[in-house]
Amino acid sequence: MIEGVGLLLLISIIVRVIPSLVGTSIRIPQRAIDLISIAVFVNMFVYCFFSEASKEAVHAALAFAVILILFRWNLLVTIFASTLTFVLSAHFLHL
Amino acid sequence: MQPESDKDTYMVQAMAVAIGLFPIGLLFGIVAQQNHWTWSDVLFLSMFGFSASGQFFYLKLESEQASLASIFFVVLMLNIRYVPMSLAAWNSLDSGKRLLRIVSAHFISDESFAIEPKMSHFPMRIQVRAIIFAAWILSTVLGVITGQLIPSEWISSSSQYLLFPATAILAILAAKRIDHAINHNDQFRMSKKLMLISGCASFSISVLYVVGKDIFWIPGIIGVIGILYFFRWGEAQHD
Repeated sequence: MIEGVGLLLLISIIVRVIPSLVGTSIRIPQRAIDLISIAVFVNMFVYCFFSEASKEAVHAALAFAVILILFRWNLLVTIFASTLTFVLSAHFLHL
Repeated sequence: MQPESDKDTYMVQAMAVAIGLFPIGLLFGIVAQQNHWTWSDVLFLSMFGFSASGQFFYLKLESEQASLASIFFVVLMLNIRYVPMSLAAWNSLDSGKRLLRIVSAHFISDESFAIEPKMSHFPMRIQVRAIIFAAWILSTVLGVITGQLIPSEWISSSSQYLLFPATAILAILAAKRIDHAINHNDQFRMSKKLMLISGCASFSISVLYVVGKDIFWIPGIIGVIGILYFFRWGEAQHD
């Protein structure tokens, strides 16, 4: 656990503390930030889906379908609905 | 000097965000407790590793026994968005407050950055950040305590579902960010944007299958950046 605290603190220093000392003297191209962000989030979505689908493919597919339908709504509602779908399908669908 | 009414408005917004984050923090604490973390583990992680999505991802990857190098790279890439925020979160009035800047930089979050007015006085920005930071710590620790109150037979019967909400949060946040990027790109038609993002996702899936999920992050992210760069995503907007 201690390594987790150290790791996240180190990352915070890299991405928040050091840039705050640099201030506005360097300028990272906005396009670079945009491309990195999209790449991270595409890979994150894929990773999340496959980490669940590798265990429960159909249930994960149903729950992620709910996420794709509802994600523009309230965050908590979407979390609740997708989790409920996952739990109910695992409970009632024995495939 | 910031008018008192403006200050009240920002404080109310910060409190609203803090209340909205509370259930998510509570959920983090419950999931962490189910993974045998103590309240002090979660307290230290939330204090020193303050990053909601980063903490969820750390918890998920750690429970899947991913290597520390993989976790570092993934969470670093996840949090790289804080670099431009941290560069932009200061103004000329902040000069001479080096130590305070170092400490309060750690409290910057997506939510605080969205609320705090850039030209406001330093104490007000610190208050906004502190409210959100405190709410996150309190909610995650309370989550651990809540998790301890849940009967253990409930936990054993539902253990296969316990990490799903953490996965769902990350997937929803990712979907929201991708949706935002698609909607804010007026360079291509919607069909082309969707095809491009689908192509990126297909590439990412292929990499995941070929190299495995432990090491797919680096080639996956670099590859998707390469595809978007090749198709000149965002080039017209940033010229």
